[in-house]
Amino acid sequence: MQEFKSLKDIPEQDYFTGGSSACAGCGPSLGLKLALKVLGPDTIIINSAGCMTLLPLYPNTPLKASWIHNAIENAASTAAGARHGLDNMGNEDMNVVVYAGDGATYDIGFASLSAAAAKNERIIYICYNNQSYGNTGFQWSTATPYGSETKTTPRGKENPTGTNIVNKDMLKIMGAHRVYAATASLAYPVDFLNKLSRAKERDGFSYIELLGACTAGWNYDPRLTIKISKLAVRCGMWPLYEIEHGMLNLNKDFSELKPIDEFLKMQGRYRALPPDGVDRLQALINEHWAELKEYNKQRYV
Amino acid sequence: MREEAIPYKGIEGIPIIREPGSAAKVNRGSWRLVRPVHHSEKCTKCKICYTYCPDAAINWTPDGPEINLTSCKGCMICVEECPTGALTEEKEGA
Amino acid sequence: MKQTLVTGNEAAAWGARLVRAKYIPNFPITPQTECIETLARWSADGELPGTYFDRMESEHSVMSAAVGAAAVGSRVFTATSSQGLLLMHEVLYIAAGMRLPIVMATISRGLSAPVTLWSDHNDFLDQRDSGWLMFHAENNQEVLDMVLQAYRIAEDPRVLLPAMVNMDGYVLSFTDEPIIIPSPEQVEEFLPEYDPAHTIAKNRPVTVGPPVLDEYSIFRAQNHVASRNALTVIEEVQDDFEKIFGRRYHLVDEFMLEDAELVLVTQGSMSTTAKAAILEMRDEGIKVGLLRLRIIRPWPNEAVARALKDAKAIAVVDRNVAPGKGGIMFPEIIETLFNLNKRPIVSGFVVGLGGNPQTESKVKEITNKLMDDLAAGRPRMEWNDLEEI
Repeated sequence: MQEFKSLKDIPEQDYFTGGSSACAGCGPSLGLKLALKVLGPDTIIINSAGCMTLLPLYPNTPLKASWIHNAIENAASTAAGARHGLDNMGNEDMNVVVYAGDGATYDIGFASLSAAAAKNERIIYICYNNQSYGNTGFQWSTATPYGSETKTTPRGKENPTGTNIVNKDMLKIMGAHRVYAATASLAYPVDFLNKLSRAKERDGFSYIELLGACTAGWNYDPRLTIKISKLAVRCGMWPLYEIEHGMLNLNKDFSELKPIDEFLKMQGRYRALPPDGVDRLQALINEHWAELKEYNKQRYV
Repeated sequence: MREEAIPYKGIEGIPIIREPGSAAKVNRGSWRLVRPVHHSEKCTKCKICYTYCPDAAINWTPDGPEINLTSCKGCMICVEECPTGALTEEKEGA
Repeated sequence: MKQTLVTGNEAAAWGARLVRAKYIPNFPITPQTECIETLARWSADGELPGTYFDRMESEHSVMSAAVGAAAVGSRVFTATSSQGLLLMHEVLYIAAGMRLPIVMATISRGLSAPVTLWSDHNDFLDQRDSGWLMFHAENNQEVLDMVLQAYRIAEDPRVLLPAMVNMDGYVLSFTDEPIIIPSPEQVEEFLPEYDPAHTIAKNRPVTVGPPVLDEYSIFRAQNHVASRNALTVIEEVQDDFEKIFGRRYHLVDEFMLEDAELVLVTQGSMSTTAKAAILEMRDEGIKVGLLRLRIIRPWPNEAVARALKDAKAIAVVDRNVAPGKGGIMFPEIIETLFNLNKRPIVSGFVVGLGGNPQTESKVKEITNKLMDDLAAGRPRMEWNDLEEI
């Protein structure tokens, strides 16, 4: 099993090409490119309906691995079928990996995900989280953060906050399934690929939630995808941590979080959040961070 | 229904894509308003640009990055992340 | 040959066992449960070597997992009923569109609301546009035989479509009938190894189910042609089946049609009762016969037209209803006979919903009504067995 120490260690062989119709600067697309460096061509990516579905467009595909697209809510169950099908044929060394968006994971595909995790199926579930239903034009999902505007939670006279629901704690929920759960960010590719590398060897279910910075939905210049992915981690909006056997491990600890203001200003979805919304959001982040610091290296779930 | 007029295509009539990486030949250059230009004298071969290109439009060679102008969509992540200014932005058609 | 007493559920399970299905995703629903429980017991006792019995959390996931396994080239079996069958509806189209020869036993049960546990055919017939091959069994022997044949037909390179084998819930699923269970050697001779060329394999990376643009119509047309191809394949398979197992089936089941003036068109287990009633009516001199539809998709239009062309009056007995319209098979029969030189009277009867038993006397009632229609020269479309509530 490889352990990468720096960018220079990341394998140079790519199993992903250009030519897809993903947006210029697409975070999730970059996530898949990076993942395939570690997963290799003997991999089946099971995809849920979402932005990434349109990477292959008959007769072209940017992938040099296999891909199954079923529907929106069943990537995890399709993956379970593929896993057992392969194992039955003696192909235990092929990887079965789900690449699904947050809508498909948190919402409509939640039951399918939960059962696959509960049965500890030997698959890697990567959720690329762009905190919305991206492919349909940026609508609210239960992964949309408090204060973010979306097309179905627009700011208005009656509701200047936009999204006024606080997210469920998905990582804790997945940790409670007694499987490996972790967050990842595109700005920390070594951390992401190490987690993926370990997941490949694990004899059970791994859940990796990658922050999928979305230039079109979040409304920022595509060149800032990595900067935003980094700032999300530095200001506590997207802490990097993992849960294994119920134990919390904070991968990137900081003595102080950067205030969220710079992060919010960079994105159109947050720009018009009124001050009391910003305060509430900052308080929620501080609370979550304090909890992670408190339980670091201890039993968390 | 005159289905005898429809030829049966066997495997070719099944919606699968058999050629891996067939999208590499699709030209996305028309998406660009700007393009990245590499200045090797400033390049420290840190591999940051190559790592962060979402479309795998940067090939890594022993001499550093090589921009694939068929795949490059002009997102400018590579220019933004380059720590030494070895990649700069230039207008398309300049 | 030795006969064994099995229920319809067990007969379907025997089918899955004999074909050595490698992957069996499942979710329980009355009246299918005994089918998967039988497979669970065999699996636990090591009698299904190399088969993975995968308990899923919903029928939608059952069919999704079936797609996943079939897409990597596994032979798959599953079973469901009613609400479960409807829950997996979108994935049925996906499985057919991907041309994956999954075989599923459906154990027919009426649909909610209101809730019923007993049998009618709405759940099964609701899937007729999905692209699946659809077979309907009359008795438990046919259940087993249809499952064996379904794999052979579905996996044929000229077809490559999923197939469902329907049996009536309770009447067949939970009722013991003596059947002949073939030997594994016979099945091995009948059913070759499944080795597809359009699925994912090691060193063969394939994208399964991509988005398409203008080519969509072409792929859908291929689905249609493949289903029509099945009619040819089915006839070839019947020849082989008879050679190996000694039982002969045809595209349709014709009962006393040679000189029949009145014909009842039925599906499923009620056909047996109807045949018994017909024998009694024949003793009274009534020239009545029965056409049992065993294949719903592809629609065996030529075989149906040939069987019915000399009838004077036909009663389509629908154990289902499309509210606002009437019985589902009624217009299919009329369409098939539309271009005949001489059109018979075709009456439609909606019967037996929610398991309402179709007794010999009810069958005679329908036949008498049909005789009246023939005499009056006017067809009818009506419910036949609405009891006083």
